[in-house]
Amino acid sequence: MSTKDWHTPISKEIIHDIHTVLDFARENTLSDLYADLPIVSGSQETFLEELQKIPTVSATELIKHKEKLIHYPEKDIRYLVSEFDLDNWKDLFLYAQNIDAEWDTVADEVAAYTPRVAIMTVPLSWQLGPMFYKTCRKKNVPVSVLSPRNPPLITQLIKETEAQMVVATSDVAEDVFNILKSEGLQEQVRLWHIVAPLNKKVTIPQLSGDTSIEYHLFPGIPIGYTNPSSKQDSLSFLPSPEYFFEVINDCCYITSLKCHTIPLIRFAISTNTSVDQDGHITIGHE
Amino acid sequence: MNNLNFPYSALATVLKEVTKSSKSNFYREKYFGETSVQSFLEGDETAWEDIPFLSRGEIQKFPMHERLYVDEKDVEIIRPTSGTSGAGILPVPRTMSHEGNKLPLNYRLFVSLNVHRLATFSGAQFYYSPSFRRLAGIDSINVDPGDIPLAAHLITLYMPDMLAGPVYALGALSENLPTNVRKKVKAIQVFGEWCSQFQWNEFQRLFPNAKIVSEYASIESQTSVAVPCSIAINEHKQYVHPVPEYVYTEIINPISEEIIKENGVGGELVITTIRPVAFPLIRYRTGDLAQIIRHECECGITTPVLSIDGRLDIDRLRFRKGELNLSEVDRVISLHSDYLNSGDFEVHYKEIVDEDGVFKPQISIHLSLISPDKSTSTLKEALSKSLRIAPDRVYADGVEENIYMSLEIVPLVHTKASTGKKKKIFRDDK
Repeated sequence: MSTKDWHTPISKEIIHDIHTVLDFARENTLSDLYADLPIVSGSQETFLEELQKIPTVSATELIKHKEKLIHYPEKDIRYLVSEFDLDNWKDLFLYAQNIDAEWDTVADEVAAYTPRVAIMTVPLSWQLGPMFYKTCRKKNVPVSVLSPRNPPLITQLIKETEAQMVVATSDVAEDVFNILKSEGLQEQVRLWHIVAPLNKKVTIPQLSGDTSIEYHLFPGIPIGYTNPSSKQDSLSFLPSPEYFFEVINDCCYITSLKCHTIPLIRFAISTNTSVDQDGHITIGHE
Repeated sequence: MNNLNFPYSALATVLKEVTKSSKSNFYREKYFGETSVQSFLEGDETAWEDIPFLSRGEIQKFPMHERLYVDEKDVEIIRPTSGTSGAGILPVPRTMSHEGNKLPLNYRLFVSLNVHRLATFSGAQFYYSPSFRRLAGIDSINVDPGDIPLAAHLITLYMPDMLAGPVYALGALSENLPTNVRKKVKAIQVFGEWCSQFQWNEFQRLFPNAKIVSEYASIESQTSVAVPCSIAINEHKQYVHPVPEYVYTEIINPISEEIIKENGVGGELVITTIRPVAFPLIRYRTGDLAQIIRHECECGITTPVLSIDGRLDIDRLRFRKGELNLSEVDRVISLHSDYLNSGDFEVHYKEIVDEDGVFKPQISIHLSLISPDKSTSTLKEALSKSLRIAPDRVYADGVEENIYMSLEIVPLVHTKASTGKKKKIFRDDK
């Protein structure tokens, strides 16, 4: 692992995308959240230097804009929540997402694994159901969305519907898998998609079948992904192509490359970050 | 059938479809050797009453993928029944392809109330949210009935003008919401279980600006079954009309299976789905109690006004700050078998208005007492102090807090349990 500074390789497309996002954010008449963004000009050579003049933003600063985020006046939005641990009420805010947003990694997985049925069991309050349903519906895969509170019920549904893909948190996946295993059905699920919080250490579950781990900044905002064919022996991930990543002095910042409803611009996602030579990122946890 | 509202052609279409369909053998196997189906299809309306009923157990025996009457690619979601009855879950496939651009019937009322933000406990929120948004401009979030304090916090952040959920969850939620949030609510949709008058009054008191509406549906039905009309809702909150385009309903005596046509006689609700669904239900016994209030209504809807009165077999009572399970009553009673001829019992629940005009739950336990004169008061106190209604509460706590009436012990005369069970819960406040 290198401890050197790093960023997503800069290309003409990346520069174009970031300019588009910055203009979108600055000129959005519906929200003044980014009204003071400086202009970033510059060629490929000077782009990074210019970009890095934009002050970085932390989650704490975003929380200060809670009110603007909650009452974001754009139409066609739905809300996600800003915390995995929903007992952490103090900092919780609602985070607007475009109503048409899909879950790209799940879409790829559904296309690759063509499951007969896909089940998602994460806390209902995370608000991931509509995105999951929309993504699977496009591929004609029926879904079931269940609260993770009752692993025996989830297991029974997997059996009865012959579901072959499960989206869950690490601990719930393990619980469900153990029940399946006790009944000799450990091979039933061909793909486990684990949703993991970026800011918390996750235990990689020992499951039969393929396992992908996706790290989310907030539930529904994927930042990195380990694809099912890779060995799940470390917590490193490939950065999401939806963001421009910068690692400076072990801190990691992301900038949206798509005009998300609320774009993230030089948003600090972690300290203690390292990047290997293949561009896999590892977030250190206390 | 001496019934002007009998939808012969719609029912014949459904029957024809399921018996001719190349997609599933479910009904062909079920009706094998039944002459009533053929007679009905040949025009004999009276044969309908001879077509066998359908039970949940029969459906459960058939693998889900083998009882689909739509293409597998048209199944959008699968919802399991809860399985709390001990009979295991029933995965229910559902398609929306037939619904097109129509808003669920009940939501047309909410559109008229100009609501824009819905917080719902419904497990199907993810499924309906796009059409709510597209067709009614209603944004929605899903809240978890398993974590009421969190639900209250999310709702306080979100500030919805409409709430939807089962009675118990909405009841618990309302105690956790600040006044300004409650006052903003313009509409409440109640579903999932029978709602007592006490609870209705509480909802109306806590949400003074809300129009409260109940709907009858079930996971198995795959569609709304009965909704209120503008007239019936003013008579009683739980009076509803079966939706004629969606279902045909019958009420039967659960023992004799005879059809009940008179007003005011309770029985089991039986439904037949008329609209295309992933798995059509034909004469499905819902396990819910209902009665006909009247056959005609000035609102113009052609189906009778029904009162939906909860489950036929109640195994759990939910009331303010507590719930009582049949198994808990059984456990506590077994501790006092010295006083009893048998372990049979009936639990009767009602809400009584006390001298201050406040509704309070009252529980009476009917027991087969060896010596009624001697044991009633002893048992009354012992049971009240032993019956657990929450992890850290017994029934006596509620009596002491003056929110419940005292527990009553009554000699068991004769069980009126229609299903022949010896241990049963009755709601006497319907």
